[in-house]
Amino acid sequence: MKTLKELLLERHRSAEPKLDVARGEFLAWLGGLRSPVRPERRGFEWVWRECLLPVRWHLAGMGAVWLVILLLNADTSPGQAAHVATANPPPPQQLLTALRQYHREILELTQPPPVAPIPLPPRRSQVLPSTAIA
Amino acid sequence: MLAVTEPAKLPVHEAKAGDPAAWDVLFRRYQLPLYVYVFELVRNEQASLDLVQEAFIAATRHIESLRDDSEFGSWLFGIAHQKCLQLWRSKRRVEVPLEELPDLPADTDDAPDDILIHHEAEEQVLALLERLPVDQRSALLLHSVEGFSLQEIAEITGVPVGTVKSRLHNAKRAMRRLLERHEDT
Repeated sequence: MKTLKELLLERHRSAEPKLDVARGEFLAWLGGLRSPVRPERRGFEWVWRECLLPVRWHLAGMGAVWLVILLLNADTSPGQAAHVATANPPPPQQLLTALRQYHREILELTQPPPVAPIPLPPRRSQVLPSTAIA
Repeated sequence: MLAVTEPAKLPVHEAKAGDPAAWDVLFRRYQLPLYVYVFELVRNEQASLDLVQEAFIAATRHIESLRDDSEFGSWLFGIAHQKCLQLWRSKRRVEVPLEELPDLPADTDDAPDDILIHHEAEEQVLALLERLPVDQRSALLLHSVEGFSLQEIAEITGVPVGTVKSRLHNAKRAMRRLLERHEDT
């Protein structure tokens, strides 16, 4: 008569040599873990695992935000407006005519309008005949 | 070298300090019971060896989170249990029934060694163990192999104590029925 524990342990007793190997590997790993890690062994994999992987979602979110900002900026950038403005420049004659017309309008606005001559009052001698002074 | 095996005297404190000799003692103490538990769940020798090793590697990384040194065994089996679940998920071999069984009163005989098996019935018992649902098998193994209490099994498997009682009750009932049938024949 055996208990279930005795039966199972006996059944798997043959795995003990392999478990001893696994224990040896574990202790070797543990020994390597305790030794200081040299900087030259910290390659891209270490940087990825220790530095980038924990913040991967933050980096992805920031990247998405920057992408949106760049897209919005591309639509309304002043460089594109300047490009549109310089795409079809007016001919020089038309520009000169417009400038002259502009200059003429400025002059008209700044010069005083022509004033009508105010009629002088009649002279006193003409209004009062000689009988006024007696 | 430290050579103690009783849970209360295991060099868990020294292991927390990173003593390789202490880890050697802990590995020796638990390697076979842990292997039995993992193998009877995943049914693959190489995967079981890997899982035992991975459980210890994870234990070295998280040993600081263990508050009570006397709970090292159940804590280690909890890690191994989680590793088994991860393996099932990765292989999409989820045969664990997810529905919770109703709470049943605990067996009056909760001693781990209460089921005695005749030599003639050994193969049948092992075959039955293999056919049991994984949750019942897990509870029965933890109860029988390491003698964990219902509370400890609940913590290892992450289910309420009532659920553990139900699983253990059903597993033992199936086992007893098999043995009774064997005795009748």
